[in-house]
Amino acid sequence: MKASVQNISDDQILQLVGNPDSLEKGFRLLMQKYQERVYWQIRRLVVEHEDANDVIQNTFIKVFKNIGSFEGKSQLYTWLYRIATNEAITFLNKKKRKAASSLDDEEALLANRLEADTYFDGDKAQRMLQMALATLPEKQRLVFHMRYYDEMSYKDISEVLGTSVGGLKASYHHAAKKIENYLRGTESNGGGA
Amino acid sequence: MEEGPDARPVVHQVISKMKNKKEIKDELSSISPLLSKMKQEQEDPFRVPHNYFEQLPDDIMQRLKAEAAPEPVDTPSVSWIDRMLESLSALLQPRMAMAFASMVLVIVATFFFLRSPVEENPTAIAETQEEISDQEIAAYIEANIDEFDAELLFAESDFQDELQDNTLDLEAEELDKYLDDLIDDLDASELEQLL
Repeated sequence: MKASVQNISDDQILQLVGNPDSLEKGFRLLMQKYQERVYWQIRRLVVEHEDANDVIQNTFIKVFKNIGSFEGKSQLYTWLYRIATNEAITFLNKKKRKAASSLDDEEALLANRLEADTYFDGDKAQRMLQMALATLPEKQRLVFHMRYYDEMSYKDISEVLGTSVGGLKASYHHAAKKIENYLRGTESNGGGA
Repeated sequence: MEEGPDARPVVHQVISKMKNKKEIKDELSSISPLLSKMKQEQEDPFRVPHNYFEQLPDDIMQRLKAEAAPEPVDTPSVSWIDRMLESLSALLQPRMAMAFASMVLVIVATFFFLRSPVEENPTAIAETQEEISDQEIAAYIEANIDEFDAELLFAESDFQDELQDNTLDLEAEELDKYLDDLIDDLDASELEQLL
């Protein structure tokens, strides 16, 4: 079932979605084909599963409401990524305004959340990696996620974020260097949090 | 329809992905050997609940349907005629009809009970008469004398009462004597007037 859904082309899905009689069937196929990729992209940005669940639901509801405006100029999944990224960033900004007032608070909060999250099995090094990611500027964090975890080409990332390939390469380079420095710094300081 | 990227042969897509993966791996090891090593050695630490992705499309469809459903209206727009007919049909239900009939009966009975004594209460009339002086009554009779016939005047006069009182116990002889005395008391001119 899973494999057969992955073999359905975007054009077939869009044709089904474009017909009111097959709209639900088409939209279900769209979700089944892309939900995992979209979920993991969101999850790595917001970290906790409950938050990721809220954001992915909001994302697909927005996709459903705007699917008629999709012109096919970009690939369907880059369009989905763009909506998911915007939803995740909006969510994080709201959460940040509510919770933390300083970078130290934010790091401590993230450490606590990772400890408490039943759907996070990471060891100490992986928690450190997540905390290092949280210190990055938003654009660098997004590029790093898409390249490191989602293994997207610069061309696709460029479609999602609307940034030049050269700029993306620089962002990824800076992000990776900062993370390594963070990890080495916490290592030499005795492990940090 | 234009040929999109999904129409590319599957083999071509797989080769392209592998090439991209190798580029990413080489790039990362050149920038940060530590991160490259972590990526190869570590598994993804994130987990999801069991059957999460099987359930997610249903959850989203449910939310979409809930959002698309019209909001319940507080007061349905029903005309006053419809509301009246609805009330009447409710009254025609056996239990309601019995209650309604009993209520009407009580209201009608109460109305007559309270109304009739006021109209026919002799005490009230007497009280009203007491408030009118004898002079006012005499003035009224004089002004409206044409409205009273002889029988009514006779019925209401003291003369009749006196006559009845006096005649009740009289025998025939006594009555004749009483009439003779009356005639004797009359002078000639009064007798002529009576005749």
